[in-house]
Amino acid sequence: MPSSIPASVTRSTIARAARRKPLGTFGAVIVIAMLVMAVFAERIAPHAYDETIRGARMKPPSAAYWLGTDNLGRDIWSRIVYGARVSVMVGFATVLLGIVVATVVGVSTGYLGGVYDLCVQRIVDAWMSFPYLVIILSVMAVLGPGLLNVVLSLALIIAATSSRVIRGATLSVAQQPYVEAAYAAGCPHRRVIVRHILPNVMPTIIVLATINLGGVILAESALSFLGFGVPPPFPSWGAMLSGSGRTYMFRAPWMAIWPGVAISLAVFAFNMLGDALRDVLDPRLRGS
Amino acid sequence: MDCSRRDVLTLGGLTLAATTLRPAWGRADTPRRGGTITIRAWDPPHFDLHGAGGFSYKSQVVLSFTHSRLLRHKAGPAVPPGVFPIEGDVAESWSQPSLTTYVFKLRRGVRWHAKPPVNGRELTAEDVRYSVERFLTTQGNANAQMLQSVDKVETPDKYTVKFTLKQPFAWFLDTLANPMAVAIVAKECVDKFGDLRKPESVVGTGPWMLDSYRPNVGMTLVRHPGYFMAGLPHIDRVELVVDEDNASRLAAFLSGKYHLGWEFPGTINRTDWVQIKDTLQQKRPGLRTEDFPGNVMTHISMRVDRPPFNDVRVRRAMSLALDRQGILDSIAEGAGTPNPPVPTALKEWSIPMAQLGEGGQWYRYDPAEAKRLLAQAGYPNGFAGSMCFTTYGSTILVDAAQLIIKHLKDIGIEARLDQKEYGAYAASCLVGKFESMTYGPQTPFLDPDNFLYGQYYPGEPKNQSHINDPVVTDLLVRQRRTFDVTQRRQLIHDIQRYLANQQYYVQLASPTYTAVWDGALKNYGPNLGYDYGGRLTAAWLHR
Repeated sequence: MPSSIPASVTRSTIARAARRKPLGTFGAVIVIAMLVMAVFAERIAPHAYDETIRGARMKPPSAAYWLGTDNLGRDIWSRIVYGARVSVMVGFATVLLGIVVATVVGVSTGYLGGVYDLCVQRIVDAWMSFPYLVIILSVMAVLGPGLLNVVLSLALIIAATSSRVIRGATLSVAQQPYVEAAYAAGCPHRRVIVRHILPNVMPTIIVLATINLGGVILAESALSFLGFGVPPPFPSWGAMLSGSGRTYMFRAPWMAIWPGVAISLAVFAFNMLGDALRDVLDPRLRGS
Repeated sequence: MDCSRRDVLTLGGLTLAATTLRPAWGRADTPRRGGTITIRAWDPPHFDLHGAGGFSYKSQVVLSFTHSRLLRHKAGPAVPPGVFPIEGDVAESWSQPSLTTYVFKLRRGVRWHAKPPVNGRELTAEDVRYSVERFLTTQGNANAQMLQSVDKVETPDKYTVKFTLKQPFAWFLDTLANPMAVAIVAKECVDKFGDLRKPESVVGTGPWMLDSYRPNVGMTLVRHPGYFMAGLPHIDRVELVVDEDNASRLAAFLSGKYHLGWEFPGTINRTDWVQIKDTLQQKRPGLRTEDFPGNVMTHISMRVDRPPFNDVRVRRAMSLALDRQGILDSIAEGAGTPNPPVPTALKEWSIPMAQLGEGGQWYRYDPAEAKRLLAQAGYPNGFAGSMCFTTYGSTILVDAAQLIIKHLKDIGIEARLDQKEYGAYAASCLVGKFESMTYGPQTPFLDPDNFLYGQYYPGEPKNQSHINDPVVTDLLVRQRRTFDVTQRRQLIHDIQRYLANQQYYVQLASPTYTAVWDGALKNYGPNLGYDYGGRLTAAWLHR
């Protein structure tokens, strides 16, 4: 029988999952903290992200500057808080766009099959045969640096790889007796997809989205590291690491360490959360 | 042991003779043949100095080893950085029969590299004529304007070249000596290869020959045995290493791989230098260094042909908003020099800041006065605009751009950084195609004319700010027609005073260059400009 996820994911389930999945819970806490930082950056950060504090150039971590200051005299903690906004925005926007496209492609090809499936999947094959960084850099070189272009280029990658997984899940669901029963009852294709296929591939989609979030944050950092990300002075963790962070590595290692820690923590958190969600939502793994 | 007076005298005599007649190669001040010098370089987009994009330093540096010019800048420890005395390169002598005529007598026996299709034939006046005409007519040569005054080039005989100019041009000899201008190329190469973009077409009469080119890895140059300066060059082999990662370059320098500082032109960035100088004292104790002002000057250009930048008060406010010393403190450890319109590095022509007169006041840091001027100009709440920018792969430039945006924001000007890829930037903002503002470095020219005429004369491609000021235009033309150096210097100073007051470009300070070279490299003197080959021709390695 088709089942909807919200019904099974109750408050008690979450509490139980927290006890049984401590790493996932830890990941969730970090993700929530990131979201809070991103939304309330102006309130949390003690300084503006571009505020240059006179006489505070390259100060090590202290009570006044928790994570130290950079070579332009800017508070690194404040910049990391604002940088969360970029990571969160890029992460969620990319995954949302990529997963929507992947779902449309994956479900339609898996459900309809035939020549349409064959043609579309060969295009996906061709797309996936390129190293992802080559595709991203090519797209960025054409479109130019900027937040929207980062989102677009990363979403293209997510869409291709995820559509293949979603297609697989759709193929499996489409073989189920209740889908055949729906046909027999005279349901049109649209209704079968919306009422029976989509709800049953949703756990796969959610897990894909969560796990992809970590990868996207890392990719955004890599793009910013290469100079294709968000233009300065708005902070991005990747740009903080690659720019002056590297230049002053010997004299002010905290300029590179803290953005690196932020990236690692975010990627770790999303991956752990994704793993835990998969365990909770996948019926085969439920209870494991 | 008995030691007679005769023995003592004999020993003394022998010692004296040994000291006087010791082998010449043992002394560091005696030129010594051989050795390999390794230098960090850049992968050239192509090898055609006259072709589109050939103005790139990436090509110029390589070809400074392989090609000759009519004239060149003297090099060596006796020449202070920022000064460019002229001497003959393939020209043995020259005269100026009239204000618009120059006659050059070529050296005899100047041989091309023994490579096909030229195969070591003798250079003639016809080669010079061909090179100048190609320089002027090659589509897309961004530096063609340097010789736009040339009307015709004639070759009365095999060793004589006569230039006739359209109008007097006092910088003509300096231009011919400039490594960015005419490199003498062979027509046979252009005929055979179609252009000079391929490495096989790198055939010149310079001191070294291109032996191999490995894309994105490096180039090897070997000594030109038929070089026209007898006994030169001393160094047998030059390895140019392409290394795009600063951490890798820094490590390579610490380990002794590079003989010159890895940044242009043989320097080390101040931020890196401060970090590694103590380590270098232990690892490379013989290193030589010299500090001098850099001629890479960054500036904000703006559309002065439209509001709000057509109001001089806005431009002055922008200049007052910038804390130039603060920027230097942040990006260059405080070491640098403020620049009037001609960079301080060109010490013979740049006006001292204290002599700028009324215009000097706009170079101070005074955000309160800047806000007042903005309000006076009708922008009490400031305004918004974009600032075109490319990183050039430099974190220093990115840091400077961030500070500039912050300083402008402090007086109400919201400048959004419009970051472009280098190619897109070079094709648009660098040549004045932008909507609001552009920030970036200028070509590090070696004479004031290129800084002034190129950037302020109406219609010039590097007139980024779209300036059309009759006063400036008149002064620019007059200085080009003034051959008396003292009078010309006076005019150049007058122009700078006028421009300081107008602030058509808002100039930033230049970080100090720290030139660094291996102690074994003798008879080398650092200087500004792309002429790496020229500076190393008479140098030698003493191990």
